[in-house]
Amino acid sequence: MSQTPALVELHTISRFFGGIRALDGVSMNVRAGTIHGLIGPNGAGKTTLINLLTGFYRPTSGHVLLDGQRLDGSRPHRIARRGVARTFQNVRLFSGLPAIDNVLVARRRGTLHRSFGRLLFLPGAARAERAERAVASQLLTQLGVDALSRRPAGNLSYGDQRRVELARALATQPRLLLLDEPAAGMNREETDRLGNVVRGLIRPDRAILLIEHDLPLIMAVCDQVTVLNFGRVIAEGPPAAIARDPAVIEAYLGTEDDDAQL
Amino acid sequence: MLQQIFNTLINASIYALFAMGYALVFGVLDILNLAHGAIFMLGAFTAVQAVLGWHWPLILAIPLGMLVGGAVGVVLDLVAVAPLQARGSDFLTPLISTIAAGIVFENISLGLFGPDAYSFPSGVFPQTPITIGSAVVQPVDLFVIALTVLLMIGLTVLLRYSTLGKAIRAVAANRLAAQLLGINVARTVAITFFLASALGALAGIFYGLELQDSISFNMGGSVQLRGLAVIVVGGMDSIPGVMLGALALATSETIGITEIGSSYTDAIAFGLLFLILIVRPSGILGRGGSRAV
Amino acid sequence: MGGLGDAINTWYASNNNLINDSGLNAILALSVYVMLACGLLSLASPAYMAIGAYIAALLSNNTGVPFPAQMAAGALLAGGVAFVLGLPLLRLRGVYLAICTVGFVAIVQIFFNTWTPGGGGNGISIPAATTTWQIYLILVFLCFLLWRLEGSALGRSLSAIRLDEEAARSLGIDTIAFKLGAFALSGVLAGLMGVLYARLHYYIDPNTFGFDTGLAALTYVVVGGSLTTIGSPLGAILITALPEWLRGLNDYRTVVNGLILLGVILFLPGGLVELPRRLQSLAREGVRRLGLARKDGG
Repeated sequence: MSQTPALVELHTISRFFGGIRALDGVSMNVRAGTIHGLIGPNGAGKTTLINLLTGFYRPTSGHVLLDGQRLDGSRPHRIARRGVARTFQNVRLFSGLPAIDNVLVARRRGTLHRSFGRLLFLPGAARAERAERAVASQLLTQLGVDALSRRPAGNLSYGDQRRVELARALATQPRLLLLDEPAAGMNREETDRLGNVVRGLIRPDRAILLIEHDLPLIMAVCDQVTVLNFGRVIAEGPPAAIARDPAVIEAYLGTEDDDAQL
Repeated sequence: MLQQIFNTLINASIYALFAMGYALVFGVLDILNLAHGAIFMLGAFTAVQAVLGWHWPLILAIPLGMLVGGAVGVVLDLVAVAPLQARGSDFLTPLISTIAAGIVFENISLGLFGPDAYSFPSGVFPQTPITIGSAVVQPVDLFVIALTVLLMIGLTVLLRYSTLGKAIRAVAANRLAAQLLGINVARTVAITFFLASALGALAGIFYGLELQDSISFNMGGSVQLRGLAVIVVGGMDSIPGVMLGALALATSETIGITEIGSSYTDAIAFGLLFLILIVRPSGILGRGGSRAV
Repeated sequence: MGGLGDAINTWYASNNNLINDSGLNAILALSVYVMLACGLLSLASPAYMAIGAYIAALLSNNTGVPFPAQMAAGALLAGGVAFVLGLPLLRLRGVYLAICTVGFVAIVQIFFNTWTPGGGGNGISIPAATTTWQIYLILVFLCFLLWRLEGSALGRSLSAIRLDEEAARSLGIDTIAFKLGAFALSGVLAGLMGVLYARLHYYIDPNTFGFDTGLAALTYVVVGGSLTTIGSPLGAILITALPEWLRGLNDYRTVVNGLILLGVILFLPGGLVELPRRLQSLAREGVRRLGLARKDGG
């Protein structure tokens, strides 16, 4: 069990929508250098949690800390600038833009300098732009889709789109990377490959939160797993322990979740 | 005072009928039909052409106008709206499409009828003034108000209890789900356009009956903007909301005219619009208007 | 050589107004374009134009402020008004925002209709100063600036906001700041155009600055191409000049406008700039089909 301090701390987070308790007293710590899984039946609150972490919702009560600083209450783009990146459950690329531009958009460093410098044809600005383009290209290469850089993102296959979206999220140099069901729609072989890719993303200063229904993937890559049901944490621990936890088994088998393959 | 109340009710009736057209289409498609003002105009022209040109009695000219208006609405849907829906466009493209269609309709009218303003002949409705309290009204005024109320009730009943009404509400709530339930979405939308446009056409006929020399190719212009004010104020998608919005607008105009003078009625409509939207982006009764976060 | 020069001079002399108006409309179109570029439909440009025009009128008639300074003043004031307008409006969803911009135009028009220093409903006269050279120099300069920005990081960010605002925000883009910037820029462009317009036509009245003008500007952008800078001036020049080419159809000018708009929206959504590419792929498709047919036919 790693003793590094938690990068992200959720303290009794609750989020109510009218009478619905989407999240109810959820506490969780995600440590840097680890992959933390978040599982639970549909409607358990997983996506609400991600939306909360990225600032699209505010908690009804409780608070979130990133690096010891309050995260909740900030606006989404500020949270993103603090190093929180996500991929979406239904891929949300900028479909009219080429794949490489999708990744470039995420490179925010020196945007003003590069843009206004371009107006004045400043060589420094052109250099900076080329440098960012190289980074974007390298990320696409890392994910095996650099051949598709110039293709409009909307024309890519589903799997390739997911990879471009991941490259885009990585381009922000995130401290906290939120992956929302990245394996959805993938077969066993593709999922295994995804697992290798995700494992390759571990950095000592980065935490990865992986939301998934595919339990073998969770078992294979995660260091810690939190299980949600009805907005509450019903179990937390290493994958092996979760697999044997009676409460977890009941939650999955009780709701007849087809994906449960413990 | 009572007189002004009646004036307000007449205006509110016309605005409500017209705005209902916007609300119906917006409900099922999430787009604003900006050719609606042109349909308002075509309804009025059809009726006045029937009465003046073909010597039809008004009792037949009104349904004719509504029918023609409804038909034009369906054509609009088939040509300019449905193809874009299939393509999955943003909100902007269908909007511009309806604007363009409206321009074409207006200019067809201009070509057919010229730039002149027309009126219904004076004998078309009995002209015996009726005294109610301190107010003096014409039979046509009562007709307008009564028919509008009846239609609003009829529409509410239709939407709540009939199969068609349920289909419309289903499509408005969730297009995909409605399709999965076996509802013919395209046909439901076309029928909605028909209904919406028939109401708009009737509003045009009423407008022509109430106001002398008001039927001209560009009569849809200011009503169009007022209709927008109504649905924004009352909320885009509820019948009571539309009625409330229409009343609110008509009332503020009546008050405004007496206080400030009639050249500012447009400003009143928009001032109200602005204020409401800024204070409460979802309108008084409806949903939608503000962005999520 | 003298023959060519004379021909150009004659052409210019007889088409003077058209050339000038085309250029001015092109600038107005750009004002609508910068809003569409980040996904906002604004029909408020006539209001900004009015502000620029009346500033020019007042400064020309009452002060000795030179023409360039008038342009700056009109542009900046209109830009400021646009920025302030954007603040509450950005809370609204697309359609509602568009409706409010229409309302804003009406309110500004009514204001100028009753504003005595500007002549109220009677309008006001202004000494002429704008030349065709100035219009087109400014237009080319603006096109150049916007074109460079389009391909820059800022331009990409704007496109991202237009295509998926929430995703853009999740990448750290301050979408509100960008949109406010677009509002301000839209105001600056239309305000500048208003100054030029006023001192070209040497008379203005509130009727010019209404809904129809905003609609026309939208038409220029959509028809020319709403996705790149060059589309707006292209559409503006084409549509402004169209009645001349179709002189016989002059009475039907607005119908033709409407039909063109409808046709473009339905069949060529990217605007006329897309036409070459579309024709190219249609041609390729045609050749392919012909090629296959020949093979089958043997």
